[in-house]
Formats: sequence, C-alpha cells, structure tokens
Amino acid sequence: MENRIALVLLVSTAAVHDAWAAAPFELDTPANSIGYSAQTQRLYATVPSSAGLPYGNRLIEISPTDAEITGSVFVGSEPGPLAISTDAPVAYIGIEGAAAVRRVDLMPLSAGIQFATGNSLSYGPMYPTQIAVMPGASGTIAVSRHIKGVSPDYQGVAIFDDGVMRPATVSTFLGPTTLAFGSSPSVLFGYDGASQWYAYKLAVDASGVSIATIAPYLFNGFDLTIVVDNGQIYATSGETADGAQMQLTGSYDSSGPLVVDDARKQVVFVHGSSIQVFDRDTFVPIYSVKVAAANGNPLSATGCGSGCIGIAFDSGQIFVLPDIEKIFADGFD
Amino acid sequence: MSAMLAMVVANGRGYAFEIDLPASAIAYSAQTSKLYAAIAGSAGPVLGAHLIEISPTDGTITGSVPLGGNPGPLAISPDAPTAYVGLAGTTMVLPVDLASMTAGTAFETSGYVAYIAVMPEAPTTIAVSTGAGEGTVAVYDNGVMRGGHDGTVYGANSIGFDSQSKLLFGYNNYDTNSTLTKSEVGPAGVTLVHAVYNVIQGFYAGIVVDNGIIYSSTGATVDGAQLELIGTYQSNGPVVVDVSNQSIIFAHANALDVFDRDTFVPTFSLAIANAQGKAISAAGCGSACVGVVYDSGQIFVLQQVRDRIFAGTFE
Repeated sequence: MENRIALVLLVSTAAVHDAWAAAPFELDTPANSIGYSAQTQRLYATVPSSAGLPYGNRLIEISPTDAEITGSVFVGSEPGPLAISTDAPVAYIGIEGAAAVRRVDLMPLSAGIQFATGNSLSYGPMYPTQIAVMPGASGTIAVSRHIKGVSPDYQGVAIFDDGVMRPATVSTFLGPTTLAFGSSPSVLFGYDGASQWYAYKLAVDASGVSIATIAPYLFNGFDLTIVVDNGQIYATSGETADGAQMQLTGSYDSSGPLVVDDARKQVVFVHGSSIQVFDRDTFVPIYSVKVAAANGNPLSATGCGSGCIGIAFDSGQIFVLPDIEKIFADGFD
Repeated sequence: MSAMLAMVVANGRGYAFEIDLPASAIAYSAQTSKLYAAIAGSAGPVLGAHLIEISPTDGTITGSVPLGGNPGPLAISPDAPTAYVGLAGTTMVLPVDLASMTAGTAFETSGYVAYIAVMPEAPTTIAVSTGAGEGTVAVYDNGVMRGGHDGTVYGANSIGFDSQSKLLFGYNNYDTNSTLTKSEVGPAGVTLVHAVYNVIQGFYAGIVVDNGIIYSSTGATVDGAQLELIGTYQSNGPVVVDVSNQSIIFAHANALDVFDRDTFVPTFSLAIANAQGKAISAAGCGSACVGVVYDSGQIFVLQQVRDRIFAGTFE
C-alpha cells in the first residue's frame, strides 16, 4: 500500500479562520495502536501486515509536527497493542501472530527482545491483549492475555521483567482485559470489558500481581479501555473514577479513545470522526470538531504534547493534529 | 475422461496451465524436475488411478503409471526419484520409481493411510500416519515396519520430516487439542520428544516443514526447536515454501497469496483464472513455480510466481 500524507480540513461548528494555523495531517497507513514517547517526542504506530510493503508488521515513527514517517522497524507478525514507557525511550508491542511481546528501543529505533507471554497446557499460547509499562521501571511490563478458540478467551494478567515472568499471576476465570499503571509501580488498574463490567485494582510486588480490589460496574460497557492520570481512572465510556477509592467521580458526555491533557486541564475524546473536548475538572464540554476526512471508527488515540493528538482509525487512516486548540471553534456538536 | 490442457492467463501476465483431471495430491521431484499428480479413478480408463508426470514448464503430461487403485496421499523423496502413493480406502502404500515410471510392490501398513512423509537421505524409509481419526505414526523401511506397535506414536495425522534435523513433526488435525508433536526416528521406530497443544489450530490442516520451521495451512508458523509460534501469515490453504524467493505461498480459494517468508508481510496475490472449488494440495516445482490441485477436478501449474507484475495489490 502506498502511504499518503495529506493536509485535511477540520470542520468545526463555528469559524475555521485559523484552522490552517495547525492543520491536521492524514497518513494513509493502517495502524492497530498509536502511542507517544515524551523522550523522543515522536508518535509511534503498529502497522499490521495488511499494509503490505514497506511498513507492514513494523513500528513506524511519526513526527507530530508534520506526520512524516521518520523511521520504522520490523517488530513481528501482526503487531497490535502498544505501550510506551513514561520514563525511557522504550516501547512494548503485542505480537498477535506469534503470541509474544516485542521490546523496541526508540532511540535509536531498533527491535529488542521478543518473548512469549505464556502458555496454557490445555489451550496453547497466550496472546497479549494489552500491555502497561511500569512507571520508573522500563524493563517491566504488565500484560493481560487471551487464548484462541475458547470463550471466554481471557487468560489472566502477568508481570514480566526483561521477558521473564514473575511467578504470581492473576489467573481467575474472568478478570481485567485492559490495564493501566498510575504513578505507583505497585498499583495496577484494570477493567474487564469482555465479560463482566468489573474494574480492578491490582497489587504488584516482587512475586508478581494479585487482585486487591474489585469494583463491579464502576464503568459500564464492553470493549472499554482505561487511562490513568493523576490518580484518576478515565474510561472510554466517558466515566471517570477516583483510583484510591475506586468510586465514580463523574462522566463526560462522550465516548471513544481518550487523551488527558493536563497542561490544558482537558479531556479529549475521539468519538466517531469528532474530537470532543471537555474541561477535565468540571466535565463540561468546551468544543468539538469533526475530522472531515476520517472514516470508520477510532481504534486508538494518544496525546503528543499539549494540544497534540494522534489517532488511528479502523479505516486505515492515521491523523495527527498538532494543535487542536487553534483549530477549534466555540461550539459543540 | 481425457485430460484437457489449456494455457490460461493468470491475472495479467503470468503463465498458468490447466489440466482437467481430478487428483488427490500433487508433489514435485527435484531429481526429475517434474510434477506428479495422483489421479482419481473417476478420471476414466486412460489416466484414472494413475500417477501422472507433468512438465512444469508447459503443463504437458509426459508420462503415467497405473497405481492399481484409487490414490490418496502422495509423497516424494527429496533425495531420490522415488514416490509413495497411499491407496485410498486401503491400508496399502505403493512405491513408484519416477526415473522409469514403474510401480513397485505395494505393502501393507497398520491402517488406512492418511499421510506419508519420506525420510530425508533415506528414500526407502517413510513415515506413515494411519487411521481416519487421530492417527498413528509408524516408520517403514522397504515396506517393513520398525519396532512393531512400540515403535509408533499416537495422535498425529499430518506429518513432515525436517530435512536438516531428520526430526518428524506431526499435527493432529482431527480433534480440538490440535496437538503438534516432535518425534525422533531411530532404530526402534518413532519416539515422541515433545508435544504442545493449540499452537496450530484447525481441523484438516496440514503442515510443511522446511529448515526447522513448521508451516501450517492455517497460516500459523512454528519454530520446530521449541514448538513455539513465531508468526502467522494472513491466509490459509495448501502451503508452498519457495526458498529461492524467500516466499511463502498459499493456494487460497482461486488465488495464490504470496508472503515474504521472514516478515510475514503479503507481497502480492495472483488470481488463477478458471480455478473453481477448493485447493486441496499444492507443491513447489522450482523457483517461483507452483502446482495446485482443486477439488473441482482441475490441476494448475503456475510459473513465474515471483513478480509483482502479477498484481498491483494484495487481494
């Protein structure tokens, strides 16, 4: 597939006079997940094999200022979930085609170790569902896992240090499919978006991981993911909860992949082809804008510095919006 | 029924030769540089129940030998012009000398013949999986089973030798355990070394072993040393490893899906005009050459499965 970069127009509810001051960029490359490294100040996206040459089965590096692909590296068969350390230029990628995780050094861009994420004697390889990098320990990740050919497919959560699994795993029949660390390396948050709508607080120690708290129906919905920021858990359902108490604190009137922009005290949802921006603390919508060229549904979104968002759509499009504030108008769709 | 040979155009510029004969399997001999197809008895008196020899360069039938019964699985030695044909519905395997196109003496195995694999560097030794279900694997030297019952391994039907390690790999495509096995073949017969479950998944799936890697017709690919999944090609169907072009080729529906062997990335897809039904067997026939058998009663020989001029995009 040929990759195309294009400037695209955002359609807002009011004036668009300054839209071109920070035009969004479209990259016609399919991606399963997108993330950002504060260390390299670059976006990264996992590209499935269906993209063909030259980027299929690679992690691509994208400049957030102009959406140029500035590098790529082969990572394995069908790269999916992506997690990037907050402390070091290190990424981890779930390799669906090999039931493994690949570590990638982002500076310089080079593939590191690949390791299997477990095996069930009865059901075979465990595939990575989602990955979270431990804060302050870029060699350590939490992985939720699934199997194939069996329902429910959930296969627990494990901690890996440089590819070596800690012995204690969460191995309940049902459990958290999506994971996120907050600022503490000993607390991992999770949500079961596959079967039960239960939120989890997990305890991480040298032996591994265990369930500390279960909060049934704290969030509501299948296939949700969560983002943890400053002790708050934000769900892609729009609901948000206090991580300490595991209690709901509010709901944004939107849903979809989300980004927390602390510099602007905003929470940004990618809802269909619209970007909907809320005041983080009051839950009040501020403005929204439609990405006119976007098709399909958003799969993944990430912040890329204050006011900057990268989005991957299931239509095979990546959008980079370097500064959403400049192109937003007053209204709200 | 007489064989109809036609040259058909494969998606633009490729060479594809069609032979209208029903076959159970196709294989290639590097010694004779010919393809061989086991033709069903329903093809009629001329070529029915024969092993036919096909030129991969123009798709012509250059020879045939009667098999004495309806054929099933077919395997050819990588080292000698020797083929083995399982006779469908029987417990018999028939060796065929490909240099002279003469049949040897059929010998009996322990059950209905499901798959055959010829041991590397030992063209008179074959592994045979028998049974309609989960399968029992035994080794035969010149028709004599090694080790009796104790020399067999239970639970695999699709089998393949690794030419480097001489290890025998097997996949149970019959039940939901989807067992993948690695066995050693020694003087006493077959000895199980390692078994894993559900690394490959799929009923009726087959395996091809090349250079220590197990390629399955499901697209799943496994490291033979550890029996761990190393990647998945996004296609399925009878699979061919084209070493010289570093390609993996799947006969999927009425197309060949071609992948970069090492990155699992699709490189192009080649539609086969006229192909109908389901591909049931495929064989490489030299660099960028593939023979495919369809259950519709068609055999195709495709040349120059290499260049992206065949197709601009992956279909």
